[in-house]
Amino acid sequence: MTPTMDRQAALSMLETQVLMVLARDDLHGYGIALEIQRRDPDGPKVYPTNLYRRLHDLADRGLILNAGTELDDKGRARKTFAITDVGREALSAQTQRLAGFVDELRAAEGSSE
Amino acid sequence: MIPSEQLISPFPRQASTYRQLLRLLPGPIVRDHGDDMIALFCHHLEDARGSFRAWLNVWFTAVGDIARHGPRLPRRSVGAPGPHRSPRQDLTMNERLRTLLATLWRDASYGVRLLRKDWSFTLAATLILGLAIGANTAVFSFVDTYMLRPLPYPEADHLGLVTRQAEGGGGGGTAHDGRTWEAIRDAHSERFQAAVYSGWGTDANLATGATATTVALQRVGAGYFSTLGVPPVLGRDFTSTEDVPDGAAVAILSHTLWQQIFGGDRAAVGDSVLLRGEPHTIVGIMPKDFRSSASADIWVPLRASTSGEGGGENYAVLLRLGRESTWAEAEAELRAIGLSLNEQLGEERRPFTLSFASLQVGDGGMLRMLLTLLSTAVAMVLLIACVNVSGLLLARGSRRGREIATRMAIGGGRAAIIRQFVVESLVLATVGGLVGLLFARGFLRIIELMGTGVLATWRPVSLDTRVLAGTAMISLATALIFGLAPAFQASGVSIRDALSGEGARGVAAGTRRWRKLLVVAEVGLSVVLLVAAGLLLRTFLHLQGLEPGFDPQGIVSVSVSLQDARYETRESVEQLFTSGMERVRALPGTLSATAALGLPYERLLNMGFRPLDFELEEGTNPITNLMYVSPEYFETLGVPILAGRSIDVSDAHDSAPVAVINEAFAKAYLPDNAVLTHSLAAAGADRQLIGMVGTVKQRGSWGAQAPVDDTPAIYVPVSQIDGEFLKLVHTWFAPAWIVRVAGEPGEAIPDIERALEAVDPLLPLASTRLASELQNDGIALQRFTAILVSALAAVAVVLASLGIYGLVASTVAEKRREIGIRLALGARAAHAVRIAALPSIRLSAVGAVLGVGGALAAGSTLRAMLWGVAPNDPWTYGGVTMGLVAAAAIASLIPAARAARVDPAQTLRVE
Repeated sequence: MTPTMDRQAALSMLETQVLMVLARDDLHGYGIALEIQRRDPDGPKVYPTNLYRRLHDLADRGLILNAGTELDDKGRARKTFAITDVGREALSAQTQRLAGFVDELRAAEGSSE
Repeated sequence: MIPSEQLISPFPRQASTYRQLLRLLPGPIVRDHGDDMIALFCHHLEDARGSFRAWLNVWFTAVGDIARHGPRLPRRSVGAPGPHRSPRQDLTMNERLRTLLATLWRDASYGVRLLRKDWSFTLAATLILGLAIGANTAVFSFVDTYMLRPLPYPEADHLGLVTRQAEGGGGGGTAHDGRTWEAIRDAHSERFQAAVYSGWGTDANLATGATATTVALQRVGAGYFSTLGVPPVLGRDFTSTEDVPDGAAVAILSHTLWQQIFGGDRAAVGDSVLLRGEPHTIVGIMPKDFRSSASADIWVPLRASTSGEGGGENYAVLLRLGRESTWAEAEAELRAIGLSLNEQLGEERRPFTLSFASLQVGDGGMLRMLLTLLSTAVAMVLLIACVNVSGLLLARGSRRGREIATRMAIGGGRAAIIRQFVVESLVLATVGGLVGLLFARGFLRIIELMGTGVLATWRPVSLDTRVLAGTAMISLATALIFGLAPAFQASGVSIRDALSGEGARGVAAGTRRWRKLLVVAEVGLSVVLLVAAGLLLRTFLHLQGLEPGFDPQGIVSVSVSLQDARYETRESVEQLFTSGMERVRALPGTLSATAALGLPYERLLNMGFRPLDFELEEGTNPITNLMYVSPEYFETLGVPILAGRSIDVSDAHDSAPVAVINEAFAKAYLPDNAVLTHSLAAAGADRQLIGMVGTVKQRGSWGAQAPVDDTPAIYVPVSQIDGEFLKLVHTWFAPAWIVRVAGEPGEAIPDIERALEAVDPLLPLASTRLASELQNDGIALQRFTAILVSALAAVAVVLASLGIYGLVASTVAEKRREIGIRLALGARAAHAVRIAALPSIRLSAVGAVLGVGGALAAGSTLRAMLWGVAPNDPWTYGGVTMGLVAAAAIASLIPAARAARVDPAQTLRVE
């Protein structure tokens, strides 16, 4: 699998959320999960294997990259991730897609009222 | 490296378990991110704190998360470039395992989805499996408790009972006389430790303060508890100086009784209780939950002797094998002891061989037989259930022909299809097993309620981890039995046929052979079960329908234990009986009252007698039941006097000793009908026969007697029995007052009890029963067995009929086209019905024949439990076979008749 091949593939909900979080700041996996849950407390919980599978996929598609190691307050080393420019592009394309989707939903709601 | 979870987790143990699971994931991921993954998992645990459901959900999801996403994680760090390789190359064991797990997970979730979609199938299969697995689990928990689980003593496999086998066959068992015991004791074997005890628990009166209660008493020799390997928790075992005639009066209490009387006060040891009217010093307290061979509350020294009780076979001898010895060595030594004893006794007694039986086997012969019977019966029900579910799966398999063919066409191998089917069966069996556990709880309760009083020592039976493991095994075996046939069947589909629309028929062609086998198997197994149930039921009805030999209407009996120091003389016993009878006779509604050593339907004292002026036939063993009675005994019970006179007040202590015999005695032992001319020696006196009475049904106790039988009996007046003899028989038997009342006997009970209690306030009444209850108690075991096996047989028949119905219905569904064509060509409906139904009726007949063969083989093992009916009783066999074939015919005809209403045009158009 080459990084460019799947760049245009649709993003899953979790992948979108990961990109959204990383768009603000570089973060390690645990932090990403907590941030996703903080933003969407009623949403599905993020479980570790699924999260790292998505991170792998996103990295393989060139949307994120390994940003190095960060020491946390207890002195433990944590690998962090950062969003790439391609990732930001993909996120904004996804935002537009979702916005269109939301518009359609609103229209449907409006017509049913 | 996976970091140690203590650093990061508030849930160290769960984190550790999760860490083990993470080993399934590729190494680089865990090395780089294991910390974060565990932290995230613990975060979810933290959120779930306080709710069991949420906790369970976290674990389920986490495991699912690993199983689902793990196999898709590449074997490199996030972001690292991946080496190019083909997917199947160079897979490590770990990866293979991961792939397999993921596949099984996928199969299972696919299976669950299908089962949820086809809910009527799922419901039927789950209920059938649940019922069968539940019944098996319930019976298994009994078998486990009574037969598999070691007895609750240390090194229980070193415990045994001494057995005796008369030479030349006939007569044997675990009961011994005093001489045998003394020979074993005096041999001082180094191979084993031995202790004597009386296997019978008896009722005894225990007075504390102003109240009196009846407790269960067992008499054991010195060293009994240490031989069992369970010493008292407080105090000590009996010593050999206490265990001799006229030794000190001492007792050991059960933990429960100690708590009841002394509230667990340790000072109880050394204190005394009034047991059997005599003060006993408490020398020991047994541990909580200790059980001896009888369910006892209190133990006293046996004081074995060679006369009186020890003159007959009334003792059991417990063995504990020495650590350095083998059972073979112990057996050789026992044989030697037996041989020297035979020499010593010479002509006095029939020679015998001594050997041993393991304590567990020696303890419960009847119970063992009952449990074996029940296990076999439930296993058959389980087999029938498997056959049934197999049939359902087959039918479903043929509906799934197209799906399977599609899967195979896109590259799914035969193995994959079989795997899918087996996983589905496992899912089904798991659900069935869970439902089965619910059923098992119910079944256990029912069996326990019905079994109370049937078997002397009901141990607590419960569903514990051992039983759960058993259920899991049963379910697994079930899944394999019912799942494999359909799996192989389905995977043999022809892809081309199935996809070209011939699917259903393509599968059906091979399926039909299996179906035929299933019908035969179901009917065959049902016949075996039904025959067993029929024979047991006939036994029960036979015993219940026996003429009692007395008039049960209006009879009330009140038993009382006379193991009491105040009642060791003839005068005191007679005085007690007489004043009791006088008080009861004074009650309005009393027609008559008497007292006697035993009651109808009960086991009586059996002992030898010596004819004085008549000859016994060669080889006859002069053994009889013996019972003392008060005047008016026969009149009160309504036993007919066939010759001579009854025992009355004129038969006093100082008049000539007399005896009355029953008809069974005369038939067995008297050469002629001139009863009144004969005399015999029994119960310590030479007695003139003064009368013959009808035979009252008693429990059989020697030879090949039925549970309720016409047993020879001698009746003697209580006034003509000496104190020593009374004292002896009262250690085994509780005498009873017997009252006949006008009107409803149940209503008279309170007054009778009050009157009798007033005779001696320190003498507790042991039990009050009506004649119907005596009869019920006498055949309780047979009723219990008959009801349980019949219930299982009923389940079997219902399952078998449903199975046949289902099989025929789907056969008919496949023959719709054929039937439609025949009808269109002018065949009559009756003909169509015949085509559809006849094959399965024929198959049922084949199954029935095979079943009869199986039942004949099984019948001979049932022989020991049958009375009044032959093991090959033609009526039972005929009835069962006809009934079952009729049921099969009905089950076949209903769907067949529906087929005949087919509109030919409709059928043909569909095709």
